[in-house]
Amino acid sequence: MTRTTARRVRAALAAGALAMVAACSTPLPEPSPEPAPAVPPAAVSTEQVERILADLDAVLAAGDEAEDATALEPRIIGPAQTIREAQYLVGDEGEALTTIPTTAQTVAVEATDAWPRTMFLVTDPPEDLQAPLLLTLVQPTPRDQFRLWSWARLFPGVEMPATTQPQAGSTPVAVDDESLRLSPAATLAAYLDRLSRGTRSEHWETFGEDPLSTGIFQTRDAYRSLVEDKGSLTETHEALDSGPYAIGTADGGAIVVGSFRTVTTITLDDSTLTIGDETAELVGTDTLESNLTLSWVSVVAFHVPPAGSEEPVEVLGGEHVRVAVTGE
Amino acid sequence: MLQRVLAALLCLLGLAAIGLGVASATLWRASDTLAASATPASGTTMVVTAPGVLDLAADEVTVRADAPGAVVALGRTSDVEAWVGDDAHAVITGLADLETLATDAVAAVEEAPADGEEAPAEGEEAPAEGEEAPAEGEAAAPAPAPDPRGSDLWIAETSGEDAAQLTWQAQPGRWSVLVASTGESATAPTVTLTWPQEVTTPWLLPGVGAGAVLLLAGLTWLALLVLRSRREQRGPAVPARVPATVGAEAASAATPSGPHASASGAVPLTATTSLGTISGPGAGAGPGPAPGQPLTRRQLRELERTGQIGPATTGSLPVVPPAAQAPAEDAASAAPRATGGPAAGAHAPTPPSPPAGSQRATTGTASADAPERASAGPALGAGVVPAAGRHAPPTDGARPPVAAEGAGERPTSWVEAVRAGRFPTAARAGTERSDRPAQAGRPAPSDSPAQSDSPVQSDSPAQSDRPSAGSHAGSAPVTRSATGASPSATRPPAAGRPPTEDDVAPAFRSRLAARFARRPRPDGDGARADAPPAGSGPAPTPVTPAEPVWTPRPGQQGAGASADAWRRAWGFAPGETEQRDEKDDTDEGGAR
Repeated sequence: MTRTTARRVRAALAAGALAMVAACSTPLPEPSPEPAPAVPPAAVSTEQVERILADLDAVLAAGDEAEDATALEPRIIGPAQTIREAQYLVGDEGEALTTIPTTAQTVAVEATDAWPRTMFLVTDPPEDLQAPLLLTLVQPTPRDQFRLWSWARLFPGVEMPATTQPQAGSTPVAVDDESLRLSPAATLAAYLDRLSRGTRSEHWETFGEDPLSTGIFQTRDAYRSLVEDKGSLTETHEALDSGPYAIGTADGGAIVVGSFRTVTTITLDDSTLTIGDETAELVGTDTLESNLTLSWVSVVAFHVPPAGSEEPVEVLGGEHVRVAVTGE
Repeated sequence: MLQRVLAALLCLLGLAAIGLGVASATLWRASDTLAASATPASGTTMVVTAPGVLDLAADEVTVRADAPGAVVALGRTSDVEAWVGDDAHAVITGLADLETLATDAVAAVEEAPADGEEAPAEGEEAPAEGEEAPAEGEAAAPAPAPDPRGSDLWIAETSGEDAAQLTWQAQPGRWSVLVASTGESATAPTVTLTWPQEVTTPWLLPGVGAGAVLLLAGLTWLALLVLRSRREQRGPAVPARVPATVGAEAASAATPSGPHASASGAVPLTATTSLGTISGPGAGAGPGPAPGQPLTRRQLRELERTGQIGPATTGSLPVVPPAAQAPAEDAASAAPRATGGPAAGAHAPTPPSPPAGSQRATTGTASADAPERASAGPALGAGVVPAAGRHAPPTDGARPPVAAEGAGERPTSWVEAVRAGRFPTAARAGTERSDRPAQAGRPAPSDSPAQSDSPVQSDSPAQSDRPSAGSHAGSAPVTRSATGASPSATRPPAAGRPPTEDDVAPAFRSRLAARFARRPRPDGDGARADAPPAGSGPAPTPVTPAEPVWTPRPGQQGAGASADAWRRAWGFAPGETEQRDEKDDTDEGGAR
């Protein structure tokens, strides 16, 4: 009895030891990644957005401080940089620098794992009671930072189209995306055609009335009235190399932001032209004898409805800044 | 035997199981972390992790990079891969073993230099640099290593001059880490991923539990075996109470036994003295005590051997109870020894005064030991005691103090003495003090028997008995003293029985003297001093000595020892005695 007991105990101990050894040889853990999602997640997280905006704010402040557009390079490019540079040139004489809030009330990011990447955001209303801005930040390649490409004042009474929650990300829209009534590139082209040809443009009815085009028309008319018969006035609208950028909206349409340059050239025939203070400042003289060339850079934001929709393309906002004046 | 071995084995197994269980939770406890590292081939300054690697082993991971200009950046796997692009890098794909990461080297996608230049043309410095490196060839003039710091892609990043560390909690999605070495001295970074591990100790409780059970079982078994064997050794048990009666009888006998006392007294003396020689005289004396009416010496011996004697003193028992049973046994054994000398006469005293016992008992808690000893003392001293008793009889009260003192002081010496088998000494001491020895001797015999009885009786009660015995002895003496001895009760008593004394005394005295010298207590004086209060000054003295004798024995001396004492006392062949006794003898001889 005792012997058998002892044997049993021994056996139990042996089994225990074996079990211990077995427990020690746990198989190596293997990576078990989640499958790549069918739909890429939002390219940028909220935390990243905040970080980017903070950095943007710092760079902007530094640039404004030095009134040096090159200092904006790390975070501001494209029309934004150009416009800011012009504002620096005008300095105290001209209009104040556009206040660019770097806190967002709405953010639209793409759900993508490709580049370039785009991010739209609507800022909080600036302290100077100006309209909120629609900022466009773009990241051309993975090793680039998101940089401010443009800002546009939202027109009064404009309601931003709904976009998907930033956590989920919005549908990326290619420049030539055909799922829209007009592709982003076509939209911009149509808008420029409308500016150039006015009511004669086939796209006149495509867009609703908007302050930007109205302003451009009014400026052109003013100069035209100045020149009258003493010379000729030509005006061209040309899209910039970069852009437009677009992000899908909840209704299947898209927000499209483009930028274009407007050049107004006045040629005088045996006469002189007296110009206003601001322009004179830029040109260096207030009396022109042969010609005057005015350059504007404009930013325009559209809400393009989805394909099949008969809704007009809504112009959400824009910016129009004279960036260069030459004349003699 | 076999059972004992098996029981011991069981204990060992239990201990082993406990040990293993504990070791599994301590020595062999798995590490709290799983840390694996890898260093890519030289020339590769970037290492990325494949999706799923970060949360490979736990939801929390710490990524450490050791390299000049170390950078650890975490982002979505797609972002990380896009950032790295076509540059050469290594991909951590998992664990090669518990300490090493498995890596795959990804060579740079070589593109025409033109491409490299185009990239910069686009206005992106980083990619330009990145692509230049491969273009120019990895061997020659490596371009500055790509620097991922500050990219908007990263969810988290850290960097340091020589090392960087990043801790990350797993989130849903596919995440990767980019580890890079940057700067001019960029090298292949050593990447270490550390995951906390939940370490369980599944064997601790079972091991310790099972072990404890085994151990308990083994111990219980062993205990049972030991108990059984002891019982067998002791032989059939005799009802305890028998002795009681015996005691009573003895007591009664004791008184009358006066004559015997002398004889016995002599005996004890001899016994004491004789420790060396003892047996001889004891033998002679033996006959004397025999009269102890009821019990034959043999009976007594047997009783003692069996250790069954005890109850007799029952009445007194209550007093001592506090004393441990063990002591009782000791006492018992002691008693017998005491009996060796005094025992012969001792019985008588016992019956007399239970109160004494009580008194002693009351004396103090401290007295617990003391009392016992005291009581024991008397018993042992029986020979001596008697003297004391006679002198002291009245001194009962006084005795206690003495006893206490004796107990206090003597303990060591006594104990030693007792153990050494010097009981005799004690006896002698008693005797010495008193020339009374003779008387003492006598009373002692009577007393001692009583005491002996008591001790015997009780394995446990013994103590109580003893005390009582002691008290009795004291009281008994009184009676006796009253009887005949009383007058002599004082030291003179010896005188009363001079012859005996003389016979015994000389030897005793010398011995006593020697021992006294050893002991703090001077001869009779010290004893007397104690005794004085008693009024019968002398009495106390004897008591003390006697007490010491009893007290000393903490360790149980086997019934055998007591038996031996008896034998000697009764003149049985020394051959029967145990080795201890022999030793004692020699010791005593030396003492002399």
